[in-house]
Amino acid sequence: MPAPGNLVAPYGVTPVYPVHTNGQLWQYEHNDPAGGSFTWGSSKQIGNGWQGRVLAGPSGYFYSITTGGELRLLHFNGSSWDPYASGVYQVIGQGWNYIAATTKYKITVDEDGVIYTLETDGRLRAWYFDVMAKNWTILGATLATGLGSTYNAIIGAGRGVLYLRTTAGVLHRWYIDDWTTPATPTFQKPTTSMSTGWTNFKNFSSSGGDVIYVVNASGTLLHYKWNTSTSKLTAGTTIGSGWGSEQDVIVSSNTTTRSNPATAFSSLGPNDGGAALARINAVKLP
Amino acid sequence: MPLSMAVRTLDYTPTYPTYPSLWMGGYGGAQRGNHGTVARRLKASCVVFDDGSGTKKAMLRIDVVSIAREIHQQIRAAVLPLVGNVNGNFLITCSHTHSGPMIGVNSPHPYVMMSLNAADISAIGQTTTVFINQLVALVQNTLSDATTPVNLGYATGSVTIGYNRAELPTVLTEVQVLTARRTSNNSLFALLYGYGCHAVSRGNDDVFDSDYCGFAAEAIGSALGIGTNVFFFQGAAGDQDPEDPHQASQVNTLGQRLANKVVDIVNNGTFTPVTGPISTRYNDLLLPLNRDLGNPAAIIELRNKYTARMAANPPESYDYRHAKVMVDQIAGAGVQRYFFMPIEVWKFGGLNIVALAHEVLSVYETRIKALTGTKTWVMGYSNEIGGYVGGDTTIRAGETKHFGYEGGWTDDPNVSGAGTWTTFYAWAAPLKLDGDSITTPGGPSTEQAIVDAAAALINQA
Repeated sequence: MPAPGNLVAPYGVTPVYPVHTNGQLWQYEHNDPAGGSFTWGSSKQIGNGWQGRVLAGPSGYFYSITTGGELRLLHFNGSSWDPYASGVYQVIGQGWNYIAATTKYKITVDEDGVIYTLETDGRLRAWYFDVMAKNWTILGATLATGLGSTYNAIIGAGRGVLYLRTTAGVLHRWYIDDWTTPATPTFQKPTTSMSTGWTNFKNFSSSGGDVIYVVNASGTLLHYKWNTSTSKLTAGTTIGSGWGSEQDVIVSSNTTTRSNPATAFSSLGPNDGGAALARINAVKLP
Repeated sequence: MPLSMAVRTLDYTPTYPTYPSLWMGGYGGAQRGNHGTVARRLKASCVVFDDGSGTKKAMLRIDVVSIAREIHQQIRAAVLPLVGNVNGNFLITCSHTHSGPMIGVNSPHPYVMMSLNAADISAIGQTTTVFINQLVALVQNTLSDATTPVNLGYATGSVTIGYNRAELPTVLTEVQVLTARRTSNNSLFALLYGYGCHAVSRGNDDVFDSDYCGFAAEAIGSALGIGTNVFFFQGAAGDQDPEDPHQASQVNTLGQRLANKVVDIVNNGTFTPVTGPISTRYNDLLLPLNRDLGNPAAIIELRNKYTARMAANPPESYDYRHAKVMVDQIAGAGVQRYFFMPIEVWKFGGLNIVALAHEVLSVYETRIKALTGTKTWVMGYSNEIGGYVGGDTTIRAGETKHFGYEGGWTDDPNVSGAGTWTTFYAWAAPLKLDGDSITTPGGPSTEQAIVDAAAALINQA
């Protein structure tokens, strides 16, 4: 894959999905996903009964972890929920324990739909569910070890890009470099500070391309993006208030990108020629 | 392997009250309904082949402008048990005459096309039900008929009755002729013929007419003494228009010219044997649109664009009506996200028939015929018709070629172009523009995907 380029928002909007504590799922429309200004469209309720932990993947895919630890795949097509054999979701896993306050931010989805988990044993693992073939093609590949005492949250924020929050509230940016030497991708794990003061932030989510939506301790919804001049995150811009009581606030994971949009994951599946899988498989630990 | 055939023809020319609606399909704009005048009867015909394999194969050809996917699926579901539950054993093709009834209520969309109200659209739905039932009965009856042993022969010739309207160089001139002669005495039993040209030579009026191809079929049947056993199959005519002017007399002029050529081929052409067994294949290829309309972000973007289009256009315009249908669909069950492209191949000894859905442009005849040295007859308007399928040149050109009509977009490739096919067939976005090959990230182009799928079916063991 080519190196990340300029930030683009192909649709000019990022759907933002707050999950109320009563289980209602809503869709809001942030109309300046690349710029980060306070510009919103309309909103509508799109679901009920969303207890547990909810993650938004690319192109309308959702991962719902029930209070019983069941992992479910769903797809919202913008008008309604797509049917699966068992209703509007497909059960794709059990024992996904990411509900508690200490674990809910230790799972994330990136721009390509790769799920990352930060395990209690300190391992960083990757998972990939093929939404078209409906099976797992990467099942818990270990990407790093010994992270348990250092990081307490992860945010998938691009194609093979992860932000990790230290226990001191500092963000580090790790990424899989598959453009410098495409035949041998490497997992880069710098510990340079990208941003600080994130200790009490919650409900992290990325729309891709190093754009992060997050709610601070006073309930302000903030928009962060990569500053190409400083190679750090910009200071967050306020794009909303009163978001502090939501169970989850998540955004579609590929509505901003630094890659060719023609290769973006679509609702019909990946269009990257297998790059996401190759990237993970190249850097996984034996 | 010996072949035998059965054929039946049904005169289905709609009349009230059997058909609750006589609204006509083919031209948008002013409301257009038949008031009882018929220039040439509208027919549906079924051609059944028995190759001795134990399962008959059936072709259903209809003088109608289009049948949408849901209608195709209803007919297919009813017929399939009779042909071994093999999709490839049943083929539907439409002549695409623009002087027949409007069938179906979604694509083309009667409100977009003619600003019809709910009651009128409901009547079209009832007419569609009558139409489907008649066609299914026709196929069922023909499959039950005794067959006549025949020898098949194939020949082609060339005649020009039209031009390329889409600013492309290709003008289709090939006439395909498949004769079926009784094995008992070599007399002509039936004749199947094909040509690629829009059936619009009559022009836009309120008269039912099977157009130049229907005229030709009658003339051929009369000249060769086989009556109604002459069956027309439309080609890849999405960009092919008959010579101007389009008026009633032009039906006779062009139809007679085509008929003369077919009769000449039968009398003087060099026919090669076409033999059984018949091997059939079917692929319901899924073509992506240029926007991923399963993505909520794309739907929000789309809703905003169509809402703006409604605000910018008067309610009596196509653009407003189409935009309203899109906005209503988004607020309801959602827009169509995928463009299915059924491709069907019938392989005889000595002849491949490749039948493509939709209003395919001539580039597909050219490219598919080049795939194999075997004689290949490319049909369009087969199984279902839900829009135009241009080649990459057309799809990528947008309004720079023929106002974007066959490309489906004008100034914005991510949304239906005002007054293009995506408007009338009620699609939210045109077909995918980009992609070059199967190995390129992003997938193959629309044109390449279709050609590859056809090649795979032809080469399938």
